[in-house]
Amino acid sequence: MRIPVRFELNGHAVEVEVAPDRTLLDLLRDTMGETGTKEGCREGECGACTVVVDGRAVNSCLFPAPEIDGTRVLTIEGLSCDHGRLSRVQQAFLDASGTQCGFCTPGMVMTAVAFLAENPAPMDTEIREALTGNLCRCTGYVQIVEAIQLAARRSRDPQA
Amino acid sequence: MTAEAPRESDGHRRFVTTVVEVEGREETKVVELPVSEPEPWGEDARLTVVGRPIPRVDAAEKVTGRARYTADIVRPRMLHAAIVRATIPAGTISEIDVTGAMAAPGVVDAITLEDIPRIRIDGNTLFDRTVKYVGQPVAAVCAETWQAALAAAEIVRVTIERAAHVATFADAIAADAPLVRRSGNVSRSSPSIMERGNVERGLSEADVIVRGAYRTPPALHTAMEPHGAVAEWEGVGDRLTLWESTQGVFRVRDEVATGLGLSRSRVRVIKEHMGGGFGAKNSAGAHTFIAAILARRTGRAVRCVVDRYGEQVDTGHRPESRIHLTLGARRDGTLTAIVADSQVTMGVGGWEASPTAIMHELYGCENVKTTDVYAWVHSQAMDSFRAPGHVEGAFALERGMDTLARALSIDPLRLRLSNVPGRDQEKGRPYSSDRLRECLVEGARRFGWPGWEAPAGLQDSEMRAGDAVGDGMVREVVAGGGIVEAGGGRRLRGIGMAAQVWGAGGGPPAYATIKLNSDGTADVLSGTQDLGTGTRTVLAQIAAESLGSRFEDVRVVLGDTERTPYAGNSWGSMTIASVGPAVRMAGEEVRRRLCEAAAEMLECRPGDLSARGSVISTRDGTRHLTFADVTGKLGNVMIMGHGSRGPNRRDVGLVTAGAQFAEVEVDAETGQVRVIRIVAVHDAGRIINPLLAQSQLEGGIIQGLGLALFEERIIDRATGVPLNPGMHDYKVPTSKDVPMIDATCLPVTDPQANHIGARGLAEPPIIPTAPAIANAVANATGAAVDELPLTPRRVLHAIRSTYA
Amino acid sequence: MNLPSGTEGSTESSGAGDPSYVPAGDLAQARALLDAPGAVPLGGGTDLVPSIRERLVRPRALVDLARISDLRGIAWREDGSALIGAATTLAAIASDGRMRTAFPAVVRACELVGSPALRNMGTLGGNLCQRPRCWYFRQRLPCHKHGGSHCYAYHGENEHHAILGGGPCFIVHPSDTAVALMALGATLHVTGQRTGERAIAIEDFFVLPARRIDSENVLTDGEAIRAVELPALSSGKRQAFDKVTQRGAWDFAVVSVAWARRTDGSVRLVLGGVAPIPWRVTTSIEEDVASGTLGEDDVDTLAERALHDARPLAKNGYKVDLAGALLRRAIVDLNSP
Repeated sequence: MRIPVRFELNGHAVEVEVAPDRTLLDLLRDTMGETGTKEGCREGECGACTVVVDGRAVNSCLFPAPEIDGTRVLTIEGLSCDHGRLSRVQQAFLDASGTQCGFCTPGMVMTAVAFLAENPAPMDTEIREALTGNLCRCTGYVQIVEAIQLAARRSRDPQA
Repeated sequence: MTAEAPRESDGHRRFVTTVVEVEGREETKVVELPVSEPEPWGEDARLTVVGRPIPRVDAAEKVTGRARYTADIVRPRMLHAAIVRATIPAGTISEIDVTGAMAAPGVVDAITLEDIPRIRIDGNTLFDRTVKYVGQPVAAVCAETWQAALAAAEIVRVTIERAAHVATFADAIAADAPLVRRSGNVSRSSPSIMERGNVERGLSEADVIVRGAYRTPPALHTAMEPHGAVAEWEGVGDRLTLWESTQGVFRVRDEVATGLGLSRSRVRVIKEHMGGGFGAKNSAGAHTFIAAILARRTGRAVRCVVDRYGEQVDTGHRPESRIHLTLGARRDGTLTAIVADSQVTMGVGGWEASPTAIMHELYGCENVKTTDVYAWVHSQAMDSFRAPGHVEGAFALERGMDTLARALSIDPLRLRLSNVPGRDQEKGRPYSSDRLRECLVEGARRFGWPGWEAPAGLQDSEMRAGDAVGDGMVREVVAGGGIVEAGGGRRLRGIGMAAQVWGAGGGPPAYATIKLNSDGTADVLSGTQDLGTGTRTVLAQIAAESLGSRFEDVRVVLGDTERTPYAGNSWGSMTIASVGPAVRMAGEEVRRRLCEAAAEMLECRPGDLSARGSVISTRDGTRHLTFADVTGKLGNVMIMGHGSRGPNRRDVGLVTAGAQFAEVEVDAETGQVRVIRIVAVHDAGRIINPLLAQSQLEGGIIQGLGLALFEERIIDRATGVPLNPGMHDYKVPTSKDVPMIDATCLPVTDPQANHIGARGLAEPPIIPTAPAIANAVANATGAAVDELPLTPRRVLHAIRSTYA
Repeated sequence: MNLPSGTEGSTESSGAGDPSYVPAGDLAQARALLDAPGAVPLGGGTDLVPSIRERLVRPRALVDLARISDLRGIAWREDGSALIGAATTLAAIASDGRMRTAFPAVVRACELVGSPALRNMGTLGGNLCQRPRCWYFRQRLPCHKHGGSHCYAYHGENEHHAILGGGPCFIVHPSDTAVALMALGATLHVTGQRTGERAIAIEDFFVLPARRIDSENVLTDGEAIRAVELPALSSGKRQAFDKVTQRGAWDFAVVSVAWARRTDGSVRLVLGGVAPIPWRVTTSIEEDVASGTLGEDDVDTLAERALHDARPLAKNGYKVDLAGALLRRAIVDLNSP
C-alpha cells in the first residue's frame, strides 16, 4: 500500500508516495536522502530526530509518514540557505560550544528554533524545560542552554 | 626526556623499551625515540593559539547536519544488515532457520555460525551455538532497506535448548552454579590481591576503624549514536574499506584483519564523525564483522547499524560492583590501613578494571590491601566506561572517608587534606604535577565550604551562569545538613565532596605528519580520532602554534588507517598527551623548513626569521613573506614534517587529579534528590582550549550525576532478560537535571609530562561526582546512602532504616 | 515503523502483517473504519507507533483520527463546562488560556507528560488509552497481558509496580492526565459503529486487571474516545496535580496525586502510579477531608486510611511512604484557604 503525500519541505513542495509503516524520519533520511536529521532511538526517547512540523517540534521517528500530508516541514537542512551562512541559532551553537559529538545537535537546534519562535526572550529555566526531550550524553547541557540564550540575545541585539 | 637518555648515533633513531599506561593497565612496548624533541612549553611560554577558547573546527558541519556519521554514509547499491539476537540468557542453539527470512521481500543474504570464520569478541565466539546472554548475536540478514532487514531478522527462526543461567554475582559463585565459561565462573586472576605494607599492623595502630559496604550499579554508555559500520570490498574482494564509529581505527583494522584472515594493509578503516563513545567503541564489534562478511558475500556495500535495543543490551557496560571497605585511622585523621574487597559482576566478558586500584593511589596510606573477584554471568560483556574501575572505587572510598570523618568528628575536607599522598605511592616516585591539595583548597574556596568561604563577591563573579536553581537558590551552606521548609515538604539541604586521581599521561606510539599546501595552508594527518571530545580542534591549535600559522589555515585529517600515520585508541584520557606532542614536533619541523626556504628567498639566514600568523618576518621586522608567498614560489616542492611521541619519563607519575563539591536538596518524604550545584577543580596540566575543556568537565559531571541518581541497567534475575534497554527506562540526565556547575582547571602547565605540558581530562571529571553527591545526600539526611543510584526508593529506604 | 515488511506480501510468522493506513475524514467515516477487525485509532502515534514496533499490538488498520476537526479543540458550554476533543494535543490543552484558569490540574498534568515534542504530537485520547509501561510487558515476556498465566513482576523487579488493586497483573496505569481528569470527575464520550454513543464516567472507564486483562479500559472493538467532558462543578483554582519522578523531566510518575475541591465543597482525591488504574481514595475519606479543619494528626490518619489496603510487593514498599507524603500534602493544600 502506497499513500501519496504532498507537503512542503524546507520551503519546497514535495510530492511522494509513502508506505503506511514508514515514519517522517524514514521519509527524510531514506526517501529524501536528507541525513541531517539523526536517528538515536526510534522510540521518541532521545530527540535526535526532532524536526519542526507546522511550527511545532516533533519526534520524526514517531510521526507516521502518511500524516505529513498537507504540512510544512522544517529540518536542519532548511536553516542555512543564505549562501551557506549559518542561521542565528546555528551560529550561536557554534560560538557558545553548544556541540560536542554533534549527534544530538540537529535535534537540539530544531527544538531551539521552534522554541525561540514562540518565546524570543526566554529565561534559562524555560530553555531547560524546552530541551527536556533532547538528550545529550556529552556536554552536560550547560553550553547548549548558553547557545540558545545567545541566539535569543542576538535576535534582540545583533551585536550581542 | 627519558630515564633512558636518548643518544643519537649516526642520525639513526634508537628504539627503547618503555611502559605505557592505559586505563590503569600497563603495557610494555618497544618504541622509537624521536631524534630530538622540542623544548617543553614552560609556564612562561608565549603561546598565542594554544590556550584560546576557540570554537570547535567541525561545529559548522555539526550545526548544519552536514557532519556525516556512519549511519549517514550511503554507498552505491548499499545493502542494510540487521542482527538476530538471542532472547534467552543461556542454552544451545539446535537450529536456525533462515528460509522464511530469505524469502521475505528485499532480503539478499543471511548468515549464521556456519557461514563465517571463527571470530572472537570479548572472549566469546561470534554467532556461537552456545547462548550466553539475552541480546547475543546469533545470525544476521541483509536486505535492500533497513526496514526490510529488521523485518527479516524478526522472522529468522532460532531454536535454543534452554539451559540454566546465572544472573548475579551470588548466583555465579554458588556451589552448583551452571558454568558461564568452561574455565569457571570467576576470571582466571580472581582473587586478584594487591597489597602494600601490612594492614593487620595498620589496623592495630588505628584509633578508629570504620567499615562499610558499597554498591555501584551496572551502567550503560548510552552514546547518542549507536554503533555502526559500513563495509565495502574493492576489486575482486581482497581489499576492505570500513567506515566505523570507533575510538580506534587501527585497532578495528587489526581485529578485522585477524578475524577475516587478511593482512592488515588490506583493511582500511575510516572514522569521520562519531556520536560519542565513552569506552564502548574501542573495538570491532559484531556489527563490524557482520557488515564485512555480508559485503564480501554479496559483492555489495553493507551498512550495519545497531538499533537502540542492541546498543543497550550488547555493546558493553560498566559492571556492577560491591565493595566492602575498612578504613583505619589515627585520632588526627592519618590513615593507617585501607582494606577493600570487591565483587565485580562482569557479564560474559570484558577486562578486569579494578575497582580498588584507586585505594592504592588517592590517599596516603602505608598499609593497603585489596582483593578483587570478577565473576562471569549470563549478561552482556563489560567494556571500558569512562574511568573504568575508578568510578566504582571512588564511590566506596569517598563514602568511607566521610564515614571516617564523622567517626573522628573531623571535617571531611580536612580529613582529605591531611591524607593527600604527595607522591605516587605504588611506584615510589613523585608526581610530575602534585596538585591534589591545590584542587581541594581551590574547590573549597569556590564552593564556600565551611571554613573556606570565598571573600564576598568572588564567588558570584566566578560562578558560571545558569539559573537552574532559579530563585530557590540558597547560598547558605549548612555543614551538618539543614532543613528548609518549602512546598509543604521536608526539604533537606546537604553538602559533600570527593576527590579523584587518574593516570592520564598518554604515551607512545603516536605519529603526526604535517604537509604544507601550495596555498600556504597546512594539513595535519594523524590516525587518532575525535569522538566529540574536540581532538580536531585541539590538534589544530597545537599545529598552528608550532607552525606559527593562523588557526584557520590548519586542517586536521584524522582517523583513516590508509591515509594517516598511526595513533592509538582514543581511550584512557590519552589522546592529547599522546598525539599533541607528535603534532607539535611535526609543526616545528615544517616551520623550520619553511623558514629555510624563506631565508633563501629573503637572502637572510633562517635563524633571523620567525613565523607568526602565517607570516614569516625578519627579526628586525622589516621584511615579510606570507606562508602562501613562500609555498607559491616553491610551486610543487612540498614541505612536510613528521612528529612522533617519545616515551614518558619513568621517574615521575603522570596523573590528573581533582576535587568536586556538591550541594543537594533532598525531599525527605518523597526521596527525590535535586543537585543544586557542583564545583569542580581539576589539574590536567596545560589546557589547550578552555571552551572544550569546559565541555569535557561539564559532560563528565553530568554523567556522574546520572550514575549517582538515575542510571542502572536492570536484568530480571529469573529470566535473564534486560528490562530497561531503552533511553527512557534507562534514565540518563535531562537538561532539567543539570545543577549550577562551576568547573575549572588549574591554570598550570606540566612540562615534566611532555613538551606540550598537557595531560588528559576526559575521564577524571566523572570520578568524584557520584560520591560527592552521595556524601551531600548523607549530609542532608543523616542516612547511609551506600548504594547507587539514589532513586526515591533507595533514599526513602536509607532514611527509614536510619531512623526506624 | 519497522513493521514486518508486508507491503509486497505478508510474512508467515509475523501474524497480521502490515497494518494499512486510512485517514478518516469525519466521525462517521472513522466509526465505520474502526469497525473493521483489527482496526485501531491513530492519534499522535507517540505510544501506538512504538507499541506496534515492539509488537505489543498488531493492528491490521490504522485509522487516522488527526484530521477530523470535530475531534480537535476545546468547546466551552455556557455553564463553564468544557468538551475536549480526543485528538487535541496535550500541548494545545496546556497552552489554552481558558483551560489554565478553569482546569489548572489538567493543564499541569498535560505539561508534565513526556517531552515538549511528545506533547506536540500526543493527544488526550491517546494519553488515556496508552499501554502500560511495565517492563516485563514491554519486553514481551509471556505475562497475563500477553496471554500468559504469570506475572513476572510479582516475584521480580517490581519497584515500579502496583501497591493497590493489583492481581493477577500488577501494572500501574501510566497516564498523568487520567489522574487529573478523575480528580475533576470527567466524563468520557465514546463512540462506536455498533455501540453508538456512550458517556462513561472516568471511574468506570478504567478497569482493574482482575476484571479485564487484555486492556486497561472498557472500550470494545471499534470504539474510540470522542471527547472528554470536564464539569463546571470542578472548575476553579482549588485543584492541583503533582507527580514525583526519578529524573527532572521526561519521566512517568513514580507516584502522582491530583485533587480538586469542587464548587459544591466536595472533594475528590486521586493517586497515580500506585495501581493498575488511577486510584481514587474512598468516598468516606474524601468526605472527611472535605468536612473542614483538620489537625496534623487528622491529616496523618486520613492519609494512612487511604493507604490502608496497600499491599506492597518486595521492592515497592517505598511507594506507600511516598503516596502517604503526597496525600498529606494534598490534604493540607485542600484545606488551605
